[in-house]
Amino acid sequence: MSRTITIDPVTRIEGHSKITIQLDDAGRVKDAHFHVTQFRGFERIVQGRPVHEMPSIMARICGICPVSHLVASAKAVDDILAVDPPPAGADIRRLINLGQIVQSNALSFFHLSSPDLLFGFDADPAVRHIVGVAQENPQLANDGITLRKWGQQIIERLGGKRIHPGGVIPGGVADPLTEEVRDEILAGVPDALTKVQRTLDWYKSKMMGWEEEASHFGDFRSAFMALVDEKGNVDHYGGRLRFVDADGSMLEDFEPRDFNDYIGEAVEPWSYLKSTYYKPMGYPDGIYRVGPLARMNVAEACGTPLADEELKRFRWRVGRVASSSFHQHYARLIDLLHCVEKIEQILSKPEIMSKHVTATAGINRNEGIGCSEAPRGTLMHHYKVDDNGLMEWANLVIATGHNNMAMNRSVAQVARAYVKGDKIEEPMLNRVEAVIRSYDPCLSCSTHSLGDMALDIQLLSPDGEVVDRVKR
Amino acid sequence: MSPSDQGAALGGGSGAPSRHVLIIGFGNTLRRDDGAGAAAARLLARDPRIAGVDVEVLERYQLLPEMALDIAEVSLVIFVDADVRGLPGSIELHDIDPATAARDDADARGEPGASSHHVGGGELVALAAALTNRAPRAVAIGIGVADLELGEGLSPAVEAALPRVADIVARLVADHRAQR
Repeated sequence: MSRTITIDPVTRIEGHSKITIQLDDAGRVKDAHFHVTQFRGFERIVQGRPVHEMPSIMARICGICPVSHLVASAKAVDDILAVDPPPAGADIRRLINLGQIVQSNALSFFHLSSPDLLFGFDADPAVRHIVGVAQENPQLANDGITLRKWGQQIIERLGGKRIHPGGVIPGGVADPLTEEVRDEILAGVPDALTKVQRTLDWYKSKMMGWEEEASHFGDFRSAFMALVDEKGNVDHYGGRLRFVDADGSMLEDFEPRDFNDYIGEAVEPWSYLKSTYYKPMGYPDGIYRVGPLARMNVAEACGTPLADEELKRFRWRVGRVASSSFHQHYARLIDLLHCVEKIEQILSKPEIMSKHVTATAGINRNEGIGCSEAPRGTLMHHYKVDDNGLMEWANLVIATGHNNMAMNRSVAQVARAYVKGDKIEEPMLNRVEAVIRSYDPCLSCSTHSLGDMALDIQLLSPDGEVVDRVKR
Repeated sequence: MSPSDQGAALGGGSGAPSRHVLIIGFGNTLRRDDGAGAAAARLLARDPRIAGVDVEVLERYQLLPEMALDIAEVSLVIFVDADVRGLPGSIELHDIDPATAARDDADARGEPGASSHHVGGGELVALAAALTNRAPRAVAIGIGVADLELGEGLSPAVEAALPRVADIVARLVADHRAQR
C-alpha cells in the first residue's frame, strides 16, 4: 500500500507551507510537493486604484522584501509613464535595492541556514537556532546580525524607514542623496566587507563536510535565469534577462518587457504558488531556477573585484554552472559581497549627488512591465491601466514561483535519499526543510499568503491515505 | 540573582554600558489589543518622569534579532507586550533570567528552540549575552488583552491599564537611576 508523509509547517522560511511526500507500494518515494497554503490576492486589491499608488501599495506584499516590490512596481509605472528616471534617481533606487539584498541575504544565511551549517543537519533542534549559533560561534552570529542591521540602515536612510519604506516613486526617487547619508553608508563599507569575507572564509573551510548534502539537495540539470548588464555581468536592478542551460550555454537574452514570450505560468490544485516555466520547453519540462545561484551561473562575472575573485574560486570548486541548490548558500555570500562593493562604487560616483532624481510624466502607455532582481531571484510586475491611469489588471511573477518546480524536484530528491520507511524522523525532516530553505522562499511574496510560517509534512499512500503527518 | 548582579558583565566581560535604559513596547496595532505594547511605548515616550538622555523608548511591530546589539549596550531593558494569558487590563511584571530566558521563550511557543519569526525578549537577552558577554537586567511587562480581532484601537480595559503601566515603568526607571 502506498503512503504519504506530511510535514506541516516548514520552519525557518518566510511564510506558511507544507510538504507532502508520496510513497509507492514498495515504500519508495514516488513524488513530493511543496504546498503554499495561504493566499492574499494583491492583484485584485489594486484594481481601480491610481497607478501612481502602486509602489507604496505593492511594497506591503512583504515585510521581508518590501523594497524589491517597491522597485519592480516603480519600474512598471515608469514604463506606463514612458520615462526613464534621471541617472542619480536610478542609482539611488539601485542602492536601496542593494541594501535590501544585503539585509535579506544576511537573514537567510545567518539567521535561517547557519544553524544547520554550524551544528549539522542531525543536530538537536533545541540548539539549532540563532541563539545557539551565538553561543557556539559569537563572531559568526555577530557578523550576521550586524550585516543585516547595516542593510536595514541603508534602506532606512534612503527610504525613510526599514520596513515598507517610501522614497522610491514613479519616475525616480523622492529626494536626492545628502552628503551626510552618503558618508554614513560609505563609512560602514569596510566593516561590511570584512564581515562578508570572514564568513566566506568560514564557509569555504567547512564546505567539504557538506558534500553529501550537496549531492542530494536539489542537484539536477536545469536552466537558470537572471538579469545581466550590457557586459553580461550581474545586474540587480536593470539590464536584460538571460536564460542559460545546465551547461552554461545561452538559451535566450531578451528585454524584460518581452518576458511573456519566454515565461509561462501554470497552476496546480495543491498550491496557491504558481509554477513558472520556460515556454520553449513547455510545462513541466521547462524547469529553471532563479536567485543568487542563478545570478552566479548566468552572469559572466559580478563586475566588482573582490566578488569576481570569489566567483572564480566558486567556479573552480563547484563548476562553471553549479547544479546543486545547496550551493545557493555559497552563491548568496558572493552575491552579498558583490552588493557591498557595488554600494561603494555607486556612492563614490560624483553624479550620485545630482539634484535631478525624478522624471515626471502622465499616462503614456496602457501597459507597463517592471523587472528587478529580488534577493531570492527575478521579480516582475506587469500592469494594465485605463487612459486615466486607473489599474485594470496586474500580474506579479515572483522569484519563489520561478523556483517552484525546482523546489518540488529538490524535495523529492532529498526524500529519496533520506526517507526510510513510513515514519518522519528528525534528520529527514530537517533535511527536507533545509533544501527548501536553500532557496530562501518568501511565501508572502509568492502567493501573497498571510501570517507567519508553518510547516506540514504528509506521508501519503498511493490511494491518498495519510500514513504519517508532522505539523508544527 | 539580584537585579544588580544580572546587570553585571557575564563571564568576565568588560565595558560598562554607555546608555542605561531601553524600553521596547511592541505589537501589531492593526490587531486591536495586540498593539498594547506599542501604545504603551507611545505613552512612555511622552512621560516626563521617564524622559532623559539615559533612556530610549522604542515602539516596534515585533522584536528582531538585531535588537540584541542595542540591548547589550544598556543596563536595564524593559519589554512591554500584550499578554494573552492575563485577564483584560491586568499587568504582570517579571524579571527575565538570562540563563533560562531562551528556553523559556521557546517553551512558551511550544517550539524546540529559538525562531527567526518569533524571537522573544528572553531570547534577545540570551542572544545579547552570547554575542557580547553582557546582559542587562531585563524586565517583561505583560498587559492582559480582551480583543485581538482585526482593527485599530484598544479595548477599554487595556486603554485604562496604560497609565498604570507608565507608573510601573517610571518607578523602575527611577529605582534604576537611584542605584547608579
